[in-house]
Amino acid sequence: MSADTNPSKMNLTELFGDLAEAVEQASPEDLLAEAKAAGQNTEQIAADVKNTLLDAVLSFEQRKLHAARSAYRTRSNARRTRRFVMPATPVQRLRMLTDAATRDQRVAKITAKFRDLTQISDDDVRSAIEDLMELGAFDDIAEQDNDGND
Amino acid sequence: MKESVQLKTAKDLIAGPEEVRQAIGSLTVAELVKLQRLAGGAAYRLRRCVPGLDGKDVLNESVLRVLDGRRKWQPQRVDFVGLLAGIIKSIESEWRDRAKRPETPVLETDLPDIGPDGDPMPNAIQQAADSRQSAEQQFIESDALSQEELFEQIEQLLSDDSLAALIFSERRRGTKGPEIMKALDLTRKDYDTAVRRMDRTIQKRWPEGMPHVR
Repeated sequence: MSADTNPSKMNLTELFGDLAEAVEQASPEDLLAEAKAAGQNTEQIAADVKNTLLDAVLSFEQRKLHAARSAYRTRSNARRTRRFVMPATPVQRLRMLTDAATRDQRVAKITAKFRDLTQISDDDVRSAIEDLMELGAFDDIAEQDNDGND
Repeated sequence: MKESVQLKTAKDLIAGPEEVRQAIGSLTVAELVKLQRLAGGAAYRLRRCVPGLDGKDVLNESVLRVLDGRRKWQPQRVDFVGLLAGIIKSIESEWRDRAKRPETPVLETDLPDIGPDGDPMPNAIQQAADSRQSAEQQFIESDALSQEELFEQIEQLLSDDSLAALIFSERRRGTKGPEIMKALDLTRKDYDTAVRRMDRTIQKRWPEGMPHVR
């Protein structure tokens, strides 16, 4: 008789439940004895499991830290975007960049790659200003502007 | 003097990283072996629907559920091994159901892990939730057995273990565990030991996971 014509009254999920329960109900000592009898290195298994569990705790802490950093970055970028407005014309943008390079060593280092600031394209100027905004190089100016506007 | 009644709030039941570290640190070798057996078994049974899953993934998810508060823990009432055993059982059931319904959206609870460079990395369950069938999956499905064919094969595998074979055969016929124990005059321990032998025999035969069932 073919097996398919005599279907089991147990399904695969029930079999899985039986297998899981047999381990769950067992005492740790019985399982340890079985593992040893099967020739397994129980000390190594225990060390691996402990490390996995501890790594999970560390990973959780790092994930929280990463989330906190991302939230901080989002908040500070939003603040900068709110406070700072890109100058309207190419001339004003170039002046902003050259003034900042004169005033701030950090900006000067970044703009040093351009031999002559007056010769660079407006796209490069815009891009440099945006990068410097990200780094907070214009926060002081924005603060002053905001203070003046209040 | 009036005795103060301290009510536990939901926040009190969320274990912090230090509390969990302490609990892990105090686990015995036997308890750690039990956790490996529980998580490894769950991963093995899930591997049919979540390829590549291993016991470490299950243990990792269990700890995460304690720390992020999805599972509350009352140390006075449930020991840490009991807590993780319960979580592993839930994970197995949830992930199996999820894999059966690939259209189910990935929940916040399945947030990707963070890689060493801080970039998100998809976890095994997210990869499994991708409803597109790979060529490998299509091949696996075309090679799947019927449940009866699988059970026949398992019964043959147990031919050298008369007690395990008898228990399996009776379970197929729909006889419940307690009835089998009574009929065969087995203690719970005898019965579970035989079922665990069955488990080991199955895993030895199909180390990469049980065959797919149509």
